[in-house]
This record gives sequence, structure tokens and C-alpha cells, in this order.
Amino acid sequence: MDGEYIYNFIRQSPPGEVNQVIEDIRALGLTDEQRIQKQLQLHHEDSNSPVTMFENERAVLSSESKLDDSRYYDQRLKKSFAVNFETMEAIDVEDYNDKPTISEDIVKQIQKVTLDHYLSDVSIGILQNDEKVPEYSIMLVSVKYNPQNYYNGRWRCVCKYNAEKKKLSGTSFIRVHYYEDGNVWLDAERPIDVSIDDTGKLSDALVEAENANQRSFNVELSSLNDKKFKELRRQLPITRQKINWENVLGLRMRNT
Amino acid sequence: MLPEDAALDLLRRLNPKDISKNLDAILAVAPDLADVLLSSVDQPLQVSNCSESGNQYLLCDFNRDGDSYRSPWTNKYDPPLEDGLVSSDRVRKLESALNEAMRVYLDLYYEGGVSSVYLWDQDDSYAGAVLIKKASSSGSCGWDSIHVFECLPTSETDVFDYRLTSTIILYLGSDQQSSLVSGALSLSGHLTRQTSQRMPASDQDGEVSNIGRLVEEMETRMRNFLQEVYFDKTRDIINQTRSIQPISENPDKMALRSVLKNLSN
Repeated sequence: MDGEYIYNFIRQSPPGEVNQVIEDIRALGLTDEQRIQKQLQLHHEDSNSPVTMFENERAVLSSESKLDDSRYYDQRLKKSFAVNFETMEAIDVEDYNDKPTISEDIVKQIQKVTLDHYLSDVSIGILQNDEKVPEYSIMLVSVKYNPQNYYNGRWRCVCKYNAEKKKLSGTSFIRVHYYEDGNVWLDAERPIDVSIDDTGKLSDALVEAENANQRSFNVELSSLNDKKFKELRRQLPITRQKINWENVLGLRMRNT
Repeated sequence: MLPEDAALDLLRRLNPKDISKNLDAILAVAPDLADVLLSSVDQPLQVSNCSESGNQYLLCDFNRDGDSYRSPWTNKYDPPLEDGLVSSDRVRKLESALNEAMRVYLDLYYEGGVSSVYLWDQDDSYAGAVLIKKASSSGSCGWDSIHVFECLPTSETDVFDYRLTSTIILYLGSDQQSSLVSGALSLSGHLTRQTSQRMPASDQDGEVSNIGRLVEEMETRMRNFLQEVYFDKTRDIINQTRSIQPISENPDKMALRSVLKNLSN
């Protein structure tokens, strides 16, 4: 058994805890550093993990913005970089001009979305492959890591905006891990799919779609609580009184 | 870090939905951890049918001997064992009474589901497990209670220390066909709590009452705890990442953002 499945645990780690998962895996005697490194990168690309570039500037990782040799680029900041995965800081930062310049208007619209609605640590990634095709990949990530209180959470928006086709489509992803006296995962996703007449309305449209997603998430969470949770175990017995254990066996006899 | 601590830490972090699969994967690379992990990691319970009594019962490490499981209704192993582990007569009698009592509890609180109680002798006393499993009608939600307790004699006659460790595994998922939502949501995991209580018991009825009350109180407390974590806590955490109200229009949120920023620095 070469532990291939166990190395995959790294990729499946909850938000902000991948380094602890790797420590655990090493402690189990699985120390193939090449495999560890590969799964670690996949985890951060899947998660669009934020990387600190300079003070107040963060980039997000993705498989789309990966260069060879474990380097990534940020098209908005026009930099390429490697990553110190322990601290999630960009290292060996270099200028990068192989991709088109993202229009200032698009950048401003996206920044407005995060300024108005994203709390905590927010990071933005915007990609455009071909100068002639106005199609943008947009990644917005807001993480709330609080390991001192045993929880970590993440709101992540991944979408594509095509100005020619006037379409914005993608997904809002929600994940929470709570692990004090247990282990609880919340996973939710909601689609984004809207038409946009002109690019000036991009931020409004994205905000509206994500607000609807957050509301629908809140509604479904309440409905699970009100309906499904109650169906499993009642708060009080059907008699609305705590059980009289002294008589419980007598009760059983009468019922059967 | 010791390998068993590393394995337990992994299972506390990875998605609890995959706990049985992940446990198997760990045991495949670290087979010598089987004893410690199988007895300390709570997995969703399996249901089996007792053909002799016509009742269902739950399978776990506490009623297992080799590849056979003991039915609490007949005290027999399936597949049959010539010399399977059984308790002393006194403990088995108490076990039967507790199984009957927990069926009443199940009717009153769960209106369905399956329960099983297993006891075993321990020095001059006994220990046991009270297990409950309930699934929603659609099968998209499920609850498993695993209460493991010890009853320890004290210096006083007929007074015992009951020590209880309870885990509830709770899974809640959106129904696929639901018209209410356009995306998936799942909440899964388990929470564990411990308690101990000193109580007198002079006969079997007294012992049934003590254990019943202990489980009832613990489940009622844990139900509140689960509700708090699964619904309130997760929503709070998400509301710390994104705000529906524009932050610039909400001075409290502006303040919150700067507080959050300072906290994270």
C-alpha cells in the first residue's frame, strides 16, 4: 500500500488547515515530498487560496493562472511569483507582461463588489486570455480563519463574464469547518447566471446575484433547522413532559 | 507527533461525510492503529435485523465478537458463535430492561428510529453503550447517538458514579428535488460531550432510571448544542465573510471590517 489515497487528503483539506493535514500525514510515515507538494498545490488551486504579494495586495491561486515550475501570475498586478506555502506569501516576484492589460473599468467594478460586500480577508483574481476577446475569469475569495476558536470559513465566487455575449455565469461556494468538541462541515453552492446589457452594470449585477445566493442560503439553513432537524429528534417528548423513568417499564407493558 | 494522534487529528479535520472511507485508508497504511482507532472513532451505525425477535438492532464495536454481532433482543450472535462473549446474568437482565426502556424513549422523542443498549461486566460493576439511529423519511438527513458510559462503585453503599461520553453524528442535506433551492447544501459532522453524575441505585429499576435520565438530559443538552453549532454558528461565520447590506451604507459593518482586520493582523 503506497498511501496514494492518503496523499489525496491534502487536496481535500478544510480551509486554512492544509499545513496541519500535511504534518499529520508525515507523522503517519508518509513522506513522499513530491506527492505532498503536488497535492498541496492542487488544494490551493481548487480553493483559490489568497497569497500576500505586497502590503494590502493579495493574489489568488488557480489552475488557470499557473505557469511552469510552480509559478503563478497575477494579471491585474502584472507580476509572476512562487509561493511560500507555510506563510502564503509570494516569493521571487517578477514583472509579468505576457497577458493583456485588464481594463481599468473591469478592475474598478470588481473592486467595488468586494469593497461593498466582502468582509474579512478579501482577495481578487481577474484573468483575460485574449486581448481581442472580452471574456474575463473572476475569482473573489473572502476567508475567515479562526483556529484559536476552532473554526474556519470561506466565501468564494468563481465566474466568467463575457462582455460580447453579455453573460455573467458561475458559482458562489460556501464552506465552513467547525471543530471544537467535534468536526462539522457546512458546504453549499449556488449558481450565478445573469445577463448584463453593458459592462457598467457588472458590479451591480454580480452583487445582486450573490445577494440572492446569500439570502437563499440563509433561507435553506433556517428551513433545515425548522423542518428536517425537528423531524429527527423532538426537543420535548410527544407528551410534552420529561419521561417519568420510574414508570417507564410499566408504560412499555401497557403499550405492548 | 504520535501516529495515533496524527490519525485522530486527520479525522477531526477531514470531511466527516467520508469518515468511514478515510478511516479505512488510514488503517491500510497504519494497521497497528486498528485497536485504538476502531474503539475511539465514532462512525455512523449500521442496522441489522434480528430474525428471531423480528426487531432491528444496531451494530458497533461493543456488540461485536470477531465478525459476528450480538442481538440485544435475544443475546445471540449472528452469524452464530459457539462461545461468543456474553455478560453475567445480572448485567444481561439490566441490559434487557434498558432495551425495553429505551424503546419507550424512542417512541416519545423520535417517533421512529432504532435503539440498542449493550452492557458488559467491568471489575465489580459494569459499563455500556446506548445507541440510537434515526433517518428522515427522504433519507437526506440522519441522526446517530452513541452514549458510552461506566457505572463505578463509590465508598457509599448503593451509590454510583456514572461517567458518560456522548457523540451525536448529525447529517442534514437538501433534498435533490426541492423546488425551494437551486443549489446544494449539506451539513455533516459530529459533536462530543462528557458528563459525570453521582446517583443512588438500590435495585434494577433504580439503575434503569439513572441511565435513562442521564441519556435524556445529555441528549436534550446536546440537541441545543447541535442546533447552535449547525445553524447559528455556521451562519455567523459566513456573515463574517460576506455582507448582503453594502458595507459603506452600514457604519457597523465598516467598524466590523476594521475590527476583523486588526484581529487578523
